[in-house]
Amino acid sequence: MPKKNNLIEIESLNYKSIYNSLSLKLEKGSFYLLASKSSGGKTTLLKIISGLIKADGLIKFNNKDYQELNNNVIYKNIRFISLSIETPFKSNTVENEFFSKLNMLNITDKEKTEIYKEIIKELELGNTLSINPKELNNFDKLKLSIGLSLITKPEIILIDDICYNITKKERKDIQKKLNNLKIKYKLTILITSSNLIPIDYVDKILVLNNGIIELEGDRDNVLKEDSKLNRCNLEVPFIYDLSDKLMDYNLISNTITDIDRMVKALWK
Amino acid sequence: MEIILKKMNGKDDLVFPKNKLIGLITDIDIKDYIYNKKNNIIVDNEKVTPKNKLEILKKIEFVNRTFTYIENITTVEEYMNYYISFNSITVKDPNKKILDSLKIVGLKEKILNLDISVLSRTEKYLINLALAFLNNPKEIIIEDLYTGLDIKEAKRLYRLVMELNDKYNINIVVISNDTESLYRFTNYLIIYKSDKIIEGNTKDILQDVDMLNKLDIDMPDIIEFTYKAKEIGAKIDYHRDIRDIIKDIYKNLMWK
Repeated sequence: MPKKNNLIEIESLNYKSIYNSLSLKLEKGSFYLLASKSSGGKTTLLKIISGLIKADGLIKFNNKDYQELNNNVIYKNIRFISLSIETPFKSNTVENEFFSKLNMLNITDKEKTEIYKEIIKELELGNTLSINPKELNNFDKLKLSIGLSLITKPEIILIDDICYNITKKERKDIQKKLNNLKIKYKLTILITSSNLIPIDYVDKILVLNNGIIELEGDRDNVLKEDSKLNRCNLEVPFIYDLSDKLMDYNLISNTITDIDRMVKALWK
Repeated sequence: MEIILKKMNGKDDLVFPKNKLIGLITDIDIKDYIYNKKNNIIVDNEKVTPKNKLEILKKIEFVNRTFTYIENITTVEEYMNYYISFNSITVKDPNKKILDSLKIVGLKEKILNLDISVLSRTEKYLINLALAFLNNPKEIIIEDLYTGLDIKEAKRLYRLVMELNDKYNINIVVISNDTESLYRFTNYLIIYKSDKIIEGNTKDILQDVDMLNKLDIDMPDIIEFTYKAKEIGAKIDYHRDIRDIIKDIYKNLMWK
Protein backbone atom coordinates (compact mmCIF):
# COMPACT_ATOMS: atom_id res chain seq x y z
CA MET A 1 0.00 0.00 0.00
CA PRO A 2 1.49 3.34 -1.02
CA LYS A 3 2.39 5.64 1.87
CA LYS A 4 0.00 8.59 2.17
CA ASN A 5 1.60 11.91 1.45
CA ASN A 6 0.50 14.18 4.28
CA LEU A 7 0.76 17.89 3.68
CA ILE A 8 -0.36 18.92 7.14
CA GLU A 9 -0.08 16.81 10.28
CA ILE A 10 -1.39 17.90 13.64
CA GLU A 11 -0.91 16.00 16.89
CA SER A 12 -2.19 16.70 20.38
CA LEU A 13 -3.49 20.17 19.57
CA ASN A 14 -4.75 22.21 22.48
CA TYR A 15 -5.81 25.84 22.47
CA LYS A 16 -7.90 27.69 25.07
CA SER A 17 -9.88 24.52 25.91
CA ILE A 18 -11.40 24.51 22.41
CA TYR A 19 -9.53 21.36 21.36
CA ASN A 20 -8.98 18.15 23.25
CA SER A 21 -5.58 16.93 22.00
CA LEU A 22 -6.87 17.09 18.46
CA SER A 23 -5.04 15.12 15.79
CA LEU A 24 -5.49 15.57 12.09
CA LYS A 25 -3.81 14.72 8.79
CA LEU A 26 -4.44 16.42 5.49
CA GLU A 27 -3.28 14.51 2.42
CA LYS A 28 -1.83 16.29 -0.58
CA GLY A 29 -4.19 16.84 -3.45
CA SER A 30 -7.43 16.19 -1.60
CA PHE A 31 -10.51 18.38 -1.30
CA TYR A 32 -11.72 18.42 2.31
CA LEU A 33 -14.86 19.65 4.02
CA LEU A 34 -14.36 20.39 7.69
CA ALA A 35 -17.78 20.51 9.31
CA SER A 36 -18.89 21.14 12.85
CA LYS A 37 -21.76 22.66 14.75
CA SER A 38 -21.85 26.46 15.07
CA SER A 39 -19.00 27.82 17.23
CA GLY A 40 -17.31 24.42 17.05
CA GLY A 41 -13.77 25.72 16.49
CA LYS A 42 -13.49 25.54 12.69
CA THR A 43 -12.28 29.10 12.11
CA THR A 44 -9.77 28.90 14.95
CA LEU A 45 -8.39 25.64 13.56
CA LEU A 46 -7.91 27.22 10.16
CA LYS A 47 -6.13 30.16 11.76
CA ILE A 48 -3.84 27.74 13.59
CA ILE A 49 -3.07 25.82 10.39
CA SER A 50 -2.34 29.06 8.53
CA GLY A 51 0.00 30.22 11.30
CA LEU A 52 -2.14 33.17 12.41
CA ILE A 53 -2.57 31.66 15.87
CA LYS A 54 0.09 29.75 17.83
CA ALA A 55 -1.30 26.76 19.70
CA ASP A 56 0.09 23.93 21.81
CA GLY A 57 0.84 20.69 20.04
CA LEU A 58 2.79 19.45 17.08
CA ILE A 59 1.98 20.87 13.67
CA LYS A 60 3.91 19.87 10.59
CA PHE A 61 3.88 21.11 7.04
CA ASN A 62 5.51 18.74 4.54
CA ASN A 63 7.04 16.84 7.47
CA LYS A 64 8.64 19.97 8.92
CA ASP A 65 7.62 21.28 12.34
CA TYR A 66 6.04 24.74 12.17
CA GLN A 67 8.52 25.87 14.82
CA GLU A 68 11.34 25.29 12.33
CA LEU A 69 9.61 27.07 9.50
CA ASN A 70 9.96 30.68 8.49
CA ASN A 71 6.69 32.66 8.63
CA ASN A 72 7.10 33.48 4.95
CA VAL A 73 7.15 29.79 4.04
CA ILE A 74 3.86 29.27 5.89
CA TYR A 75 2.31 32.41 4.37
CA LYS A 76 3.38 31.47 0.85
CA ASN A 77 2.19 27.88 1.00
CA ILE A 78 -0.85 27.95 3.27
CA ARG A 79 -3.44 30.52 2.25
CA PHE A 80 -6.41 31.38 4.46
CA ILE A 81 -9.57 32.97 3.07
CA SER A 82 -12.55 34.17 5.08
CA LEU A 83 -15.19 36.47 3.63
CA SER A 84 -16.95 36.77 6.96
CA ILE A 85 -13.85 38.50 8.27
CA GLU A 86 -13.34 41.95 6.73
CA THR A 87 -11.22 41.35 3.64
CA PRO A 88 -8.42 43.90 3.29
CA PHE A 89 -8.60 44.79 -0.38
CA LYS A 90 -6.37 47.79 -0.83
CA SER A 91 -6.60 48.77 -4.48
CA ASN A 92 -9.26 50.66 -6.41
CA THR A 93 -9.72 48.00 -9.11
CA VAL A 94 -9.54 44.22 -9.26
CA GLU A 95 -6.75 44.45 -11.82
CA ASN A 96 -4.70 46.72 -9.56
CA GLU A 97 -5.35 44.42 -6.61
CA PHE A 98 -3.74 41.57 -8.55
CA PHE A 99 -0.79 43.59 -9.70
CA SER A 100 -0.14 45.03 -6.24
CA LYS A 101 0.53 41.43 -5.18
CA LEU A 102 2.26 40.32 -8.37
CA ASN A 103 4.67 43.25 -8.20
CA MET A 104 6.02 41.86 -4.93
CA LEU A 105 7.32 38.81 -6.80
CA ASN A 106 10.76 38.66 -8.31
CA ILE A 107 9.58 37.73 -11.81
CA THR A 108 9.43 39.45 -15.18
CA ASP A 109 6.50 41.61 -16.29
CA LYS A 110 5.68 39.01 -18.93
CA GLU A 111 5.45 36.28 -16.26
CA LYS A 112 3.27 38.53 -14.09
CA THR A 113 0.86 39.11 -16.96
CA GLU A 114 0.73 35.40 -17.77
CA ILE A 115 -0.08 34.50 -14.16
CA TYR A 116 -2.69 37.26 -14.02
CA LYS A 117 -4.41 36.20 -17.24
CA GLU A 118 -4.43 32.55 -16.23
CA ILE A 119 -6.02 33.26 -12.83
CA ILE A 120 -8.62 35.63 -14.31
CA LYS A 121 -9.58 32.97 -16.84
CA GLU A 122 -9.77 30.12 -14.30
CA LEU A 123 -11.98 32.13 -11.96
CA GLU A 124 -13.99 33.94 -14.64
CA LEU A 125 -13.23 37.36 -13.23
CA GLY A 126 -12.98 39.02 -16.62
CA ASN A 127 -15.99 41.28 -16.15
CA THR A 128 -14.81 42.64 -12.79
CA LEU A 129 -11.36 43.97 -13.64
CA SER A 130 -12.19 47.66 -13.52
CA ILE A 131 -14.46 47.42 -10.47
CA ASN A 132 -13.39 48.44 -6.98
CA PRO A 133 -13.01 45.18 -5.01
CA LYS A 134 -14.97 46.67 -2.10
CA GLU A 135 -17.99 47.06 -4.37
CA LEU A 136 -18.02 43.47 -5.61
CA ASN A 137 -20.77 41.11 -4.53
CA ASN A 138 -19.75 38.28 -2.19
CA PHE A 139 -19.42 35.73 -4.98
CA ASP A 140 -16.94 37.85 -6.90
CA LYS A 141 -15.13 38.81 -3.68
CA LEU A 142 -14.66 35.12 -2.93
CA LYS A 143 -13.38 34.44 -6.44
CA LEU A 144 -11.03 37.40 -6.15
CA SER A 145 -9.72 36.20 -2.78
CA ILE A 146 -9.10 32.76 -4.22
CA GLY A 147 -7.40 34.30 -7.23
CA LEU A 148 -5.11 36.44 -5.09
CA SER A 149 -4.18 33.45 -2.97
CA LEU A 150 -3.01 31.59 -6.07
CA ILE A 151 -0.33 34.18 -6.79
CA THR A 152 2.09 32.67 -4.26
CA LYS A 153 1.55 29.20 -5.78
CA PRO A 154 0.41 27.74 -2.46
CA GLU A 155 0.14 24.08 -1.59
CA ILE A 156 -3.09 24.44 0.33
CA ILE A 157 -5.99 26.88 0.36
CA LEU A 158 -8.20 27.10 3.44
CA ILE A 159 -11.62 28.69 2.92
CA ASP A 160 -13.71 29.43 5.98
CA ASP A 161 -17.51 29.26 5.79
CA ILE A 162 -17.77 28.64 2.06
CA CYS A 163 -21.58 29.17 2.15
CA TYR A 164 -21.28 32.68 3.58
CA ASN A 165 -23.67 34.98 1.77
CA ILE A 166 -23.57 33.33 -1.65
CA THR A 167 -26.40 31.54 -3.43
CA LYS A 168 -26.59 27.80 -4.03
CA LYS A 169 -25.70 28.23 -7.72
CA GLU A 170 -22.72 30.40 -6.83
CA ARG A 171 -21.48 27.94 -4.22
CA LYS A 172 -21.69 25.01 -6.64
CA ASP A 173 -19.81 27.06 -9.20
CA ILE A 174 -17.06 27.98 -6.73
CA GLN A 175 -16.66 24.37 -5.66
CA LYS A 176 -16.38 23.26 -9.29
CA LYS A 177 -13.72 25.92 -9.86
CA LEU A 178 -11.87 24.84 -6.69
CA ASN A 179 -11.88 21.26 -7.90
CA ASN A 180 -10.49 22.36 -11.27
CA LEU A 181 -7.77 24.33 -9.46
CA LYS A 182 -7.02 21.34 -7.27
CA ILE A 183 -6.42 19.22 -10.35
CA LYS A 184 -4.58 21.84 -12.40
CA TYR A 185 -2.27 23.13 -9.66
CA LYS A 186 -2.14 19.96 -7.53
CA LEU A 187 -3.63 21.90 -4.63
CA THR A 188 -5.05 20.71 -1.36
CA ILE A 189 -8.30 22.47 -0.57
CA LEU A 190 -10.05 22.66 2.78
CA ILE A 191 -13.42 24.38 3.16
CA THR A 192 -15.47 24.73 6.32
CA SER A 193 -19.16 24.84 7.05
CA SER A 194 -21.62 24.44 9.93
CA ASN A 195 -23.61 22.05 7.79
CA LEU A 196 -23.06 19.37 5.17
CA ILE A 197 -24.45 21.38 2.28
CA PRO A 198 -21.18 22.18 0.42
CA ILE A 199 -20.24 18.60 -0.50
CA ASP A 200 -19.92 19.01 -4.27
CA TYR A 201 -16.51 17.73 -5.47
CA VAL A 202 -15.39 17.11 -1.88
CA ASP A 203 -13.20 13.98 -1.51
CA LYS A 204 -13.14 13.73 2.26
CA ILE A 205 -15.13 14.98 5.22
CA LEU A 206 -13.78 15.79 8.66
CA VAL A 207 -16.27 16.29 11.48
CA LEU A 208 -15.03 18.36 14.40
CA ASN A 209 -16.95 17.78 17.62
CA ASN A 210 -16.08 18.46 21.25
CA GLY A 211 -12.53 19.42 20.37
CA ILE A 212 -11.59 16.36 18.33
CA ILE A 213 -12.06 15.03 14.83
CA GLU A 214 -14.90 12.68 15.65
CA LEU A 215 -15.52 11.39 12.15
CA GLU A 216 -13.35 11.38 9.08
CA GLY A 217 -13.10 9.60 5.78
CA ASP A 218 -14.27 9.52 2.22
CA ARG A 219 -17.26 11.73 1.63
CA ASP A 220 -19.84 9.05 0.83
CA ASN A 221 -18.75 6.86 3.74
CA VAL A 222 -19.00 9.69 6.26
CA LEU A 223 -22.41 10.70 4.94
CA LYS A 224 -23.72 7.19 5.70
CA GLU A 225 -23.12 7.79 9.41
CA ASP A 226 -26.32 9.78 9.89
CA SER A 227 -26.85 9.04 13.58
CA LYS A 228 -23.26 10.02 14.43
CA LEU A 229 -23.64 13.14 12.29
CA ASN A 230 -26.92 14.05 14.00
CA ARG A 231 -25.17 13.83 17.37
CA CYS A 232 -22.75 16.44 16.02
CA ASN A 233 -25.69 18.71 15.02
CA LEU A 234 -25.11 17.94 11.36
CA GLU A 235 -27.80 16.84 8.96
CA VAL A 236 -27.19 14.65 5.93
CA PRO A 237 -28.03 16.59 2.71
CA PHE A 238 -31.41 15.90 1.12
CA ILE A 239 -30.24 13.76 -1.80
CA TYR A 240 -28.03 11.57 0.39
CA ASP A 241 -30.81 11.16 2.93
CA LEU A 242 -33.26 10.29 0.15
CA SER A 243 -30.80 7.84 -1.40
CA ASP A 244 -30.20 6.14 1.94
CA LYS A 245 -33.91 5.78 2.67
CA LEU A 246 -34.75 4.56 -0.84
CA MET A 247 -32.07 1.89 -0.50
CA ASP A 248 -33.76 0.75 2.73
CA TYR A 249 -36.95 0.30 0.71
CA ASN A 250 -35.05 -1.49 -2.07
CA LEU A 251 -36.19 1.16 -4.53
CA ILE A 252 -32.59 1.77 -5.59
CA SER A 253 -29.66 -0.57 -5.27
CA ASN A 254 -26.78 1.81 -4.59
CA THR A 255 -26.11 5.34 -3.33
CA ILE A 256 -27.08 8.04 -5.84
CA THR A 257 -26.11 11.58 -5.00
CA ASP A 258 -27.10 13.53 -8.05
CA ILE A 259 -30.72 14.64 -8.48
CA ASP A 260 -30.86 13.98 -12.24
CA ARG A 261 -29.38 10.50 -11.86
CA MET A 262 -31.76 9.74 -9.00
CA VAL A 263 -34.80 10.70 -11.08
CA LYS A 264 -33.58 8.57 -14.00
CA ALA A 265 -32.84 5.60 -11.72
CA LEU A 266 -36.34 5.69 -10.22
CA TRP A 267 -38.35 6.40 -13.33
CA LYS A 268 -36.26 5.16 -16.25
CA MET B 1 -47.12 45.82 12.99
CA GLU B 2 -47.87 46.21 9.30
CA ILE B 3 -45.37 48.03 7.11
CA ILE B 4 -46.24 49.17 3.60
CA LEU B 5 -43.58 50.38 1.19
CA LYS B 6 -45.79 52.31 -1.24
CA LYS B 7 -45.31 51.93 -4.99
CA MET B 8 -42.03 50.12 -4.49
CA ASN B 9 -41.49 49.44 -8.16
CA GLY B 10 -43.39 52.51 -9.30
CA LYS B 11 -46.79 50.85 -9.20
CA ASP B 12 -47.12 48.09 -6.58
CA ASP B 13 -46.89 48.26 -2.82
CA LEU B 14 -44.65 45.91 -0.88
CA VAL B 15 -46.47 44.93 2.28
CA PHE B 16 -45.03 43.27 5.38
CA PRO B 17 -48.27 41.94 6.87
CA LYS B 18 -48.91 41.60 10.61
CA ASN B 19 -48.36 38.44 12.59
CA LYS B 20 -46.38 36.52 10.06
CA LEU B 21 -42.95 34.94 9.95
CA ILE B 22 -41.91 36.46 6.65
CA GLY B 23 -39.11 35.51 4.34
CA LEU B 24 -37.87 38.14 1.92
CA ILE B 25 -35.77 37.57 -1.17
CA THR B 26 -34.59 40.87 -2.54
CA ASP B 27 -31.67 42.57 -4.20
CA ILE B 28 -32.22 45.96 -2.52
CA ASP B 29 -31.08 47.28 0.85
CA ILE B 30 -34.36 47.35 2.78
CA LYS B 31 -33.01 49.36 5.73
CA ASP B 32 -31.67 51.96 3.37
CA TYR B 33 -35.02 52.08 1.58
CA ILE B 34 -37.04 52.48 4.78
CA TYR B 35 -34.80 55.24 6.11
CA ASN B 36 -34.73 57.17 2.83
CA LYS B 37 -36.99 60.20 3.34
CA LYS B 38 -38.06 60.23 -0.32
CA ASN B 39 -39.81 56.88 0.02
CA ASN B 40 -43.44 56.59 0.99
CA ILE B 41 -43.73 54.30 4.00
CA ILE B 42 -46.87 53.52 6.04
CA VAL B 43 -46.51 51.83 9.43
CA ASP B 44 -49.72 50.58 11.06
CA ASN B 45 -51.77 52.99 8.93
CA GLU B 46 -49.60 55.95 9.88
CA LYS B 47 -47.57 57.62 7.16
CA VAL B 48 -43.92 58.12 8.07
CA THR B 49 -43.05 61.81 7.95
CA PRO B 50 -39.90 63.72 8.95
CA LYS B 51 -41.74 64.69 12.17
CA ASN B 52 -42.73 61.20 13.34
CA LYS B 53 -39.98 59.19 11.61
CA LEU B 54 -37.72 58.77 14.62
CA GLU B 55 -40.55 57.65 16.86
CA ILE B 56 -42.06 55.21 14.37
CA LEU B 57 -38.80 53.70 13.12
CA LYS B 58 -37.66 53.10 16.72
CA LYS B 59 -40.09 50.18 16.73
CA ILE B 60 -38.26 48.48 13.87
CA GLU B 61 -34.94 46.80 14.54
CA PHE B 62 -32.55 45.69 11.82
CA VAL B 63 -30.15 42.83 12.50
CA ASN B 64 -27.36 42.00 10.13
CA ARG B 65 -24.41 39.66 10.09
CA THR B 66 -21.80 42.39 10.25
CA PHE B 67 -20.42 42.96 13.69
CA THR B 68 -19.38 46.55 14.39
CA TYR B 69 -16.22 46.83 16.44
CA ILE B 70 -15.92 49.95 18.57
CA GLU B 71 -12.66 51.47 19.73
CA ASN B 72 -11.91 50.94 23.44
CA ILE B 73 -14.80 48.52 23.85
CA THR B 74 -13.46 45.06 24.63
CA THR B 75 -16.00 42.95 26.50
CA VAL B 76 -19.52 41.95 25.53
CA GLU B 77 -20.90 43.75 28.58
CA GLU B 78 -19.19 46.99 27.58
CA TYR B 79 -20.48 46.54 24.04
CA MET B 80 -24.08 46.07 25.08
CA ASN B 81 -24.00 48.98 27.51
CA TYR B 82 -22.47 51.16 24.82
CA TYR B 83 -25.29 50.17 22.46
CA ILE B 84 -27.89 51.23 25.04
CA SER B 85 -26.31 54.65 25.60
CA PHE B 86 -25.46 55.29 21.93
CA ASN B 87 -29.04 54.62 20.88
CA SER B 88 -30.52 56.47 23.87
CA ILE B 89 -32.52 53.42 24.85
CA THR B 90 -34.54 54.17 27.96
CA VAL B 91 -34.49 51.20 30.27
CA LYS B 92 -35.09 51.00 34.05
CA ASP B 93 -32.59 48.27 34.79
CA PRO B 94 -30.02 47.96 31.96
CA ASN B 95 -28.28 44.96 33.54
CA LYS B 96 -31.51 42.99 33.78
CA LYS B 97 -32.52 44.01 30.26
CA ILE B 98 -29.18 42.83 28.90
CA LEU B 99 -29.45 39.49 30.68
CA ASP B 100 -33.02 39.02 29.44
CA SER B 101 -31.97 39.79 25.86
CA LEU B 102 -29.10 37.34 26.03
CA LYS B 103 -31.42 34.69 27.46
CA ILE B 104 -33.91 35.18 24.62
CA VAL B 105 -31.26 34.32 22.03
CA GLY B 106 -29.81 31.46 24.07
CA LEU B 107 -26.59 33.07 25.30
CA LYS B 108 -25.43 32.62 28.89
CA GLU B 109 -24.52 35.37 31.34
CA LYS B 110 -20.84 34.35 31.32
CA ILE B 111 -20.50 35.69 27.78
CA LEU B 112 -20.69 39.21 29.19
CA ASN B 113 -17.16 38.96 30.56
CA LEU B 114 -15.66 37.63 27.34
CA ASP B 115 -13.50 39.68 25.05
CA ILE B 116 -15.34 40.28 21.79
CA SER B 117 -12.28 39.17 19.83
CA VAL B 118 -12.60 35.56 21.10
CA LEU B 119 -16.25 35.18 20.12
CA SER B 120 -17.17 32.92 17.23
CA ARG B 121 -18.99 34.29 14.23
CA THR B 122 -22.24 32.72 15.45
CA GLU B 123 -21.84 34.22 18.92
CA LYS B 124 -21.29 37.69 17.43
CA TYR B 125 -24.39 37.26 15.32
CA LEU B 126 -26.44 36.21 18.35
CA ILE B 127 -25.17 39.28 20.20
CA ASN B 128 -26.42 41.40 17.29
CA LEU B 129 -29.78 39.64 17.62
CA ALA B 130 -29.83 40.17 21.40
CA LEU B 131 -29.23 43.89 20.89
CA ALA B 132 -32.41 44.04 18.81
CA PHE B 133 -34.48 43.08 21.85
CA LEU B 134 -33.18 45.88 24.05
CA ASN B 135 -35.56 48.36 22.48
CA ASN B 136 -38.78 46.26 22.68
CA PRO B 137 -39.31 46.32 18.93
CA LYS B 138 -42.55 45.53 17.15
CA GLU B 139 -40.74 44.38 14.03
CA ILE B 140 -37.34 42.80 13.55
CA ILE B 141 -35.84 42.62 10.08
CA ILE B 142 -33.04 40.08 10.15
CA GLU B 143 -30.44 39.33 7.51
CA ASP B 144 -29.69 35.64 6.93
CA LEU B 145 -31.09 34.37 10.22
CA TYR B 146 -30.48 30.68 9.53
CA THR B 147 -27.62 30.69 7.04
CA GLY B 148 -24.35 29.24 8.26
CA LEU B 149 -25.86 27.77 11.42
CA ASP B 150 -25.91 24.10 12.25
CA ILE B 151 -29.32 22.49 11.99
CA LYS B 152 -29.95 22.34 15.74
CA GLU B 153 -29.18 26.05 16.10
CA ALA B 154 -31.32 26.93 13.06
CA LYS B 155 -34.28 25.00 14.48
CA ARG B 156 -33.82 26.67 17.86
CA LEU B 157 -33.90 30.13 16.29
CA TYR B 158 -36.93 29.11 14.25
CA ARG B 159 -38.78 28.14 17.43
CA LEU B 160 -37.68 31.44 18.98
CA VAL B 161 -38.97 33.61 16.16
CA MET B 162 -42.21 31.59 15.98
CA GLU B 163 -42.73 32.29 19.68
CA LEU B 164 -41.95 35.98 19.24
CA ASN B 165 -44.45 36.06 16.43
CA ASP B 166 -47.23 34.05 18.13
CA LYS B 167 -46.88 35.02 21.77
CA TYR B 168 -45.46 38.54 21.66
CA ASN B 169 -46.83 39.73 18.28
CA ILE B 170 -43.39 40.74 17.08
CA ASN B 171 -43.21 40.58 13.30
CA ILE B 172 -40.11 38.92 11.98
CA VAL B 173 -38.79 39.41 8.44
CA VAL B 174 -35.89 37.20 7.40
CA ILE B 175 -33.98 38.54 4.41
CA SER B 176 -32.10 35.78 2.65
CA ASN B 177 -31.25 34.09 -0.65
CA ASP B 178 -31.07 30.75 1.16
CA THR B 179 -34.25 29.18 -0.19
CA GLU B 180 -33.54 25.88 1.61
CA SER B 181 -33.87 27.64 4.97
CA LEU B 182 -36.71 29.91 3.86
CA TYR B 183 -38.71 26.87 2.67
CA ARG B 184 -38.30 25.13 6.01
CA PHE B 185 -38.44 28.04 8.38
CA THR B 186 -40.83 30.71 7.11
CA ASN B 187 -44.55 30.59 6.39
CA TYR B 188 -44.92 33.71 4.23
CA LEU B 189 -42.58 34.73 1.45
CA ILE B 190 -42.09 37.95 -0.45
CA ILE B 191 -39.86 38.20 -3.49
CA TYR B 192 -38.86 41.66 -4.65
CA LYS B 193 -36.50 41.19 -7.57
CA SER B 194 -36.10 42.76 -10.99
CA ASP B 195 -38.89 45.19 -10.03
CA LYS B 196 -41.37 42.33 -9.55
CA ILE B 197 -43.20 41.79 -6.27
CA ILE B 198 -44.45 38.26 -5.65
CA GLU B 199 -45.85 37.19 -2.30
CA GLY B 200 -47.78 34.44 -0.62
CA ASN B 201 -47.51 31.25 1.29
CA THR B 202 -43.83 30.15 1.26
CA LYS B 203 -44.71 26.65 0.09
CA ASP B 204 -46.75 27.92 -2.88
CA ILE B 205 -44.15 30.49 -3.91
CA LEU B 206 -41.16 28.17 -3.81
CA GLN B 207 -43.05 25.45 -5.65
CA ASP B 208 -43.61 27.81 -8.59
CA VAL B 209 -40.56 26.56 -10.41
CA ASP B 210 -41.18 28.52 -13.60
CA MET B 211 -41.21 31.76 -11.64
CA LEU B 212 -38.06 30.77 -9.72
CA ASN B 213 -36.27 30.05 -12.99
CA LYS B 214 -37.44 33.34 -14.53
CA LEU B 215 -36.12 35.33 -11.55
CA ASP B 216 -32.97 33.22 -11.25
CA ILE B 217 -33.76 32.15 -7.70
CA ASP B 218 -32.32 28.91 -6.28
CA MET B 219 -34.70 26.01 -5.86
CA PRO B 220 -34.53 24.03 -2.63
CA ASP B 221 -33.18 20.54 -3.41
CA ILE B 222 -36.44 18.86 -2.37
CA ILE B 223 -38.32 21.05 -4.90
CA GLU B 224 -35.74 20.49 -7.62
CA PHE B 225 -36.05 16.73 -7.22
CA THR B 226 -39.86 16.81 -7.40
CA TYR B 227 -39.80 19.18 -10.36
CA LYS B 228 -37.45 16.97 -12.36
CA ALA B 229 -39.46 13.87 -11.47
CA LYS B 230 -42.70 15.56 -12.57
CA GLU B 231 -41.03 16.63 -15.82
CA ILE B 232 -40.62 12.99 -16.84
CA GLY B 233 -44.15 12.14 -15.80
CA ALA B 234 -43.78 10.93 -12.21
CA LYS B 235 -46.96 11.42 -10.21
CA ILE B 236 -45.53 12.89 -7.03
CA ASP B 237 -46.35 16.12 -5.22
CA TYR B 238 -44.30 18.88 -3.72
CA HIS B 239 -43.63 18.38 -0.02
CA ARG B 240 -41.57 19.91 2.76
CA ASP B 241 -40.83 16.65 4.52
CA ILE B 242 -38.65 13.97 2.93
CA ARG B 243 -40.85 11.23 4.43
CA ASP B 244 -43.83 12.49 2.39
CA ILE B 245 -41.71 12.45 -0.78
CA ILE B 246 -40.72 8.86 -0.08
CA LYS B 247 -44.38 7.85 0.44
CA ASP B 248 -45.23 9.42 -2.93
CA ILE B 249 -42.30 7.71 -4.66
CA TYR B 250 -43.24 4.35 -3.17
CA LYS B 251 -46.91 4.70 -4.19
CA ASN B 252 -45.93 5.92 -7.62
CA LEU B 253 -43.50 3.07 -8.29
CA MET B 254 -45.81 0.41 -6.84
CA TRP B 255 -48.56 1.49 -9.21
CA LYS B 256 -46.23 1.64 -12.22
